[in-house]
Amino acid sequence: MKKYLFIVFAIALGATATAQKKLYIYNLSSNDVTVSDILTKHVTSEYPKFEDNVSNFIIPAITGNFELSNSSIPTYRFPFFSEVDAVANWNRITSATTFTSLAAGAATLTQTNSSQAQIFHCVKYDDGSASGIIGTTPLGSNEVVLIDTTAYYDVFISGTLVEYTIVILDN
Amino acid sequence: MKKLLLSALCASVFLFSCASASDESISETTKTSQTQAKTSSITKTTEMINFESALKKYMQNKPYFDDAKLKEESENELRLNATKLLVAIGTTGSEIKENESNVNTLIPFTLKKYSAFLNASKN
Repeated sequence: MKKYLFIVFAIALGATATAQKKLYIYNLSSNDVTVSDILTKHVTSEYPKFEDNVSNFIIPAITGNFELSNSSIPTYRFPFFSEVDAVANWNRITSATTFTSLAAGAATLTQTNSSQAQIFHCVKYDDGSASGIIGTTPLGSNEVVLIDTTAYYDVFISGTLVEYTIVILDN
Repeated sequence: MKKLLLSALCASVFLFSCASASDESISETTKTSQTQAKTSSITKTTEMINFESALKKYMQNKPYFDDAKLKEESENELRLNATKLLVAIGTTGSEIKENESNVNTLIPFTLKKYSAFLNASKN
């Protein structure tokens, strides 16, 4: 009996470690939203972590959405190299003062196994009247109320699929 | 006489080019206002507003889901309004049925369908 429980536990743990990760940002609000930074963090340690190294980009009001996903990479990897919306360059931050700039493909390959997996941390954004950081701790929070809009963050897990989801709505 | 004819020709060429430029600027203005009209033509329906409201309530209540009654009420309200929205935007019954039982699949599914519908409406 113990043996079977162990096998079930091992399978469940394996599935979590290799779950496919996707990031979605939906802007359903009436304000254009400018994203200035997307940050990830190591699954357990403070470093390394990644931040995007591209210009700010706009997610248009009401109809705007943004997606980072890649179905052809090992599932423990964060989709720095996305098949949908592209973020061409990332900074790999290894301490408070050091970082390396990497192209998206190279950034993805730094996660050579599941112990080096990166997970979503937060997004810094501006809705035209104020700015916020939505996501997870330590920098972000899962609900950001600004003057015009409120952003919500949640992670939806279905089988081996992990969907980091941000929704921005009018107040 | 030749000089007079040449002056008349120059004047007519000048007037014609002004008229063309003016036509172009009119057509540019029309293009711009058409784009603006497209952007502002998306008016949210009752189903859209109700889904967003239920989603907002669900997200706000989630930290307090130790309260089983609150969890059930929030999930039911979300499920009801997500389903109504999905029907309104033309999602098939079988797709809805496949996703409606689990809120963790229903929310991402509805957001994807809703976002795709809004984009299609814009275009």
